Amino acid sequence: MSNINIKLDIIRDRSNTSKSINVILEKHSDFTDLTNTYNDEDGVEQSYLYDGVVNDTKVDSRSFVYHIPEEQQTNLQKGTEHPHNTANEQAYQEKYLLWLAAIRTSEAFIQAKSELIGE
Amino acid sequence: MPVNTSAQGNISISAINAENAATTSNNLSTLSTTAIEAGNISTLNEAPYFMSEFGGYTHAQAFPQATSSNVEFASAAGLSLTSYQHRTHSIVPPNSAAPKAGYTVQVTVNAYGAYFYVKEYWSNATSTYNKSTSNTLSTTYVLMSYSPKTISDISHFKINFDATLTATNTGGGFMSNGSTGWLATSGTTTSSSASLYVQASAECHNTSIREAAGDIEIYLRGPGYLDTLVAAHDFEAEAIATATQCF
Repeated sequence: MSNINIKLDIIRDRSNTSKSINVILEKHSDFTDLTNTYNDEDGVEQSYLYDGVVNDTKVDSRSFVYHIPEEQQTNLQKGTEHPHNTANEQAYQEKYLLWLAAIRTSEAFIQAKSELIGE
Repeated sequence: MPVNTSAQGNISISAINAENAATTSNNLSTLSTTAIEAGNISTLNEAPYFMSEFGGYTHAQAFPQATSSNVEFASAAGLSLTSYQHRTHSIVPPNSAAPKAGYTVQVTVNAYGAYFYVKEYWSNATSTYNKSTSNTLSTTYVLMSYSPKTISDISHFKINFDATLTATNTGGGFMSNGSTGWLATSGTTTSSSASLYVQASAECHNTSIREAAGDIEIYLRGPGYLDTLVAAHDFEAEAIATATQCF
């Protein structure tokens, strides 16, 4: 049994346009129960446990660079402060989902994952 | 028939050769290195070799491989089973509405054989079972495969989900892997089930993916048999949560 965590580090040029993504696959000996918090629709803070990862459990990793097709590049990025610009966030999210889908079906991803599982 | 144990002197090379179905030989070294015991309990296979080690020896064999019924085995091209759910909502908290995908496997052993069934874990997922053609898997059991061995041959069985969990580091989620240990059979019929599923949750414009992939494995154990993996069906189960708002 293997546990693989995917990290996407988005690389931007000087004009802040996303050009490529450094894709990191980390193999962990186990997932770790971590706590996440969020505000629900009423603005009330909630928390839950989820399968997360910590550095102590990292066994190995692989990385590769995914080049974002020109028509999918954007200078939008995920906001970190409230209030969020919902229209911008959703436009960015649309791009992000395209990147994620393309990355997960790429030969480089399949190869990297296969190598980590096979160890 | 086990090799005679009444007295050491009664153990003969010919008796050992008759019991060891893995080879035909009058050479003690050959007979020792090819001997197969259920549970591999002695040092029969290791040098130095002694005829006395064969006292009571019964040659064990593997259970025959199961026969595919409605679901192909992992050795076939493509996936045997898929289950998928993507939920996009303002917020996708980890509650009963969170996307889930996975399988419940049931093993039934009776006087007619051993039967391995599968159904989808979560009715809101989109799931398939495959053998030549792709078919919709629902919450009604489908016969994956079966073994002709009956409850008189099978003392235990085990359902194992050999799974790799792949996750994004945004949002939440988990994999629940209900693999069993060895389960004892009893009476005229024994039935037991186990589930594997993944769940994803997300908030504040995040997307979370929890994907489990691997093999559903059925193992059998019985007197005179080696513990044997008789069926392996490969699967993928994927839950994706996308939150479109941040509160």
